[in-house]
Amino acid sequence: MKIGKSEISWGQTQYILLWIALPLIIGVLIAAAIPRPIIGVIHLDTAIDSYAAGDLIAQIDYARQRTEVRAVVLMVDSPGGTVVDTESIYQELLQLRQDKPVVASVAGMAASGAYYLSVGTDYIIANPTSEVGNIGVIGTLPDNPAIFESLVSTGPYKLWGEPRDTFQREMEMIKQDFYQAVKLGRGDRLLVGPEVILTGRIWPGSEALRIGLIDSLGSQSVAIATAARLARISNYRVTDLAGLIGIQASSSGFFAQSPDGVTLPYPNQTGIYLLYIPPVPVER
Amino acid sequence: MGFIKRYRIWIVLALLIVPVALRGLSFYHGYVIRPKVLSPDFASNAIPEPPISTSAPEQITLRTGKVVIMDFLHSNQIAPSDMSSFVTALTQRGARVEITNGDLPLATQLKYASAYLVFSPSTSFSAEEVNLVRNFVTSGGRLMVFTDPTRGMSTYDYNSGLTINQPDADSANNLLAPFGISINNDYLYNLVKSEGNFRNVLFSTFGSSTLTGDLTQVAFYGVHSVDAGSGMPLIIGDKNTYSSLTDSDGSGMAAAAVSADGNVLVFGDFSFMIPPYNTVADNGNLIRHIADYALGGTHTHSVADFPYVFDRNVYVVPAGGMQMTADMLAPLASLQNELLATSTSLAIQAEPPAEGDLLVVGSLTPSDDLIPYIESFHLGLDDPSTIVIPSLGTVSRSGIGLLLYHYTATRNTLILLTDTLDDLPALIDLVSSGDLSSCVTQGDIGVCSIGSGNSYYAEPTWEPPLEGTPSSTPSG
Repeated sequence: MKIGKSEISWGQTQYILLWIALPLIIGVLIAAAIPRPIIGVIHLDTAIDSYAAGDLIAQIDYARQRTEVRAVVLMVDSPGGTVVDTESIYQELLQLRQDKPVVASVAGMAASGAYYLSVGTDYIIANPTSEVGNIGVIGTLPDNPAIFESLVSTGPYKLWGEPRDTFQREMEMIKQDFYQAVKLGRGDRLLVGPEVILTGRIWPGSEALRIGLIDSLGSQSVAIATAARLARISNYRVTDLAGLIGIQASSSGFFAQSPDGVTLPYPNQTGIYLLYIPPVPVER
Repeated sequence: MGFIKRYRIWIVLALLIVPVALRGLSFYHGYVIRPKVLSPDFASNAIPEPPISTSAPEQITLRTGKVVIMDFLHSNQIAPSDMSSFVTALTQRGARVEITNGDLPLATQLKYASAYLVFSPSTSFSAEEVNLVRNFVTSGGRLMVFTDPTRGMSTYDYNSGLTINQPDADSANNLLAPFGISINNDYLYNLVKSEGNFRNVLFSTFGSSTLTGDLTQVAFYGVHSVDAGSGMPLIIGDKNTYSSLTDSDGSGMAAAAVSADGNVLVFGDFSFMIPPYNTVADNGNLIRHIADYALGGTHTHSVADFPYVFDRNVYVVPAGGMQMTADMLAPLASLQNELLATSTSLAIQAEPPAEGDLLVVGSLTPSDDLIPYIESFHLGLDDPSTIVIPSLGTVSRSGIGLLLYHYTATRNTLILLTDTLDDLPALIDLVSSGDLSSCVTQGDIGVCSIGSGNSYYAEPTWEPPLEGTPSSTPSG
């Protein structure tokens, strides 16, 4: 009799299924729809030119659009590049940062334009011997205006772009823009003034930390953990955004090549650059 | 069942929410409030403009006849066109600019130069050149050395693959060593306030000098620092002007200096002379002051500088009523040609004119009209066979010619004396050759060997007196 009393009838079973199992299943299904957060990784391991800028901006745009991308780590190993492309990426990074934390992780080098991009992130991490800084602008002065017998233009600077002197002053203006970006990006964390950082020096990561150019020393995994902390997420997935959106590594031939095919550290075109060029061997 | 029935709504809600909450909390630990992200105000940054030129119309003091020698024999890293504004300032003052191209020895050019300019030398000066320049400066000539850290010569060593720099400061210091001023192999920069670039340094502190007296601010475009040594710093950097050698406070670091005697001027830059930088701030005024300085020296000549001992037209004055003979006229004609080559004319004048330089000729037995010219030399002429020369001692009269040189601001006088008038043509001939290698020269006095005294001209013949001149000539 006891056994018979404890038996659950079909009606009761239906009742339990309706009011317990079904809601649970629905709850689990709804929970499953909650996306696992992603920390998007964007790699900058070339010189910054129009190709690199296009790739990076596409990834930044993807990260901004996709809600599951909760933070971005910019893996930097670059000597910098062109001014206009650096500025384009920088502006996009600022847009992204308004919504999501961005952390820069300097593997080998964040020099010049690459450091410009780094100060557009929330947090900069570098290895102790990473090369960081080189804040400044370089350029080769254009020739003095001249005229030619068979090449005719409609103004003195149609062929030359601008006077040599103006070119140099324009570089100074770009340097001020760069410095302003560093000041804004680093804020109170920057521990030295323009007389130090505008020397254009390139510092090892440990020294860069001491003067406030970066926030901490660490590897890429530390950068990812920092991004997760800033985004307040865990159990995240780390995804290379370039692979996610199908970007193939592209090469623009930014650097000049010697006649025997060796890639040189100089750009193949004259112009104004936010670029670190290693010193040539000189015997004084 | 009763429990379930009673709380079924809450149970349903819990069963719906709990999985969602569990999964959500396993991923997200709170709402992220993003900080305000500021963007640089790019629009507020403008291309920096140079300081406005302050050059005003100037009063030019003409210094006609002055010659400035510009060195081009030491692989100088400068094009003549770079110096157009400076050369214009010199020529506006009546000066002439010559370059050292090897046609004339430096020793010769320095004889008549007011200033010797060296721009960015890439090869060293020889000991002989250094000595020549030192003597030039000692005699009141002005040495002006300009260097530029952007102008050093670079060569590529194909063996080592290295680029070898030959900084102009090294070569310039070789020349400047005797004067106690040196140029550092560096460049100055200012990261706080500059003229369009950190290496373009603005200077507002000046030493007390006519070169800088009315300057407020000058801009140099890549400049070595100059160690004034015993001299005076002329253009001085502020506390934010650093040297590339030390990257530290360069207060008092000079970009230009002048030697203690005022005859050596050294600049660590010359780009400020080159358009368009020659019109920035007070640069134009500085260039004019430098031009005045180049022509403002008092280069005193000595006998050894002949034929460049005259600054004006020369008049031959025969002393003691000496008559012009054919033997005299021939060497005088040669001398006239020699002086013409130095743009100096020569004429014979019985009496000294009010203006012009003089070539006085006579014998060692002085006449009354000769004495005023030679008394300042304190010669001992009492013994008929010897002369006592204060700096040289006693010299035999026979076979020698004496050159005495007297320099004043208004007149230069060269006196040629021989024992007898018979020997005078030989001395004039020797002098007109321009080769004084057979003469011992000491400051304002030269003693020349002209042969064997009275026998140099075997048979001296005397012409009748020239018309209008005194009839007799005292013989030795």
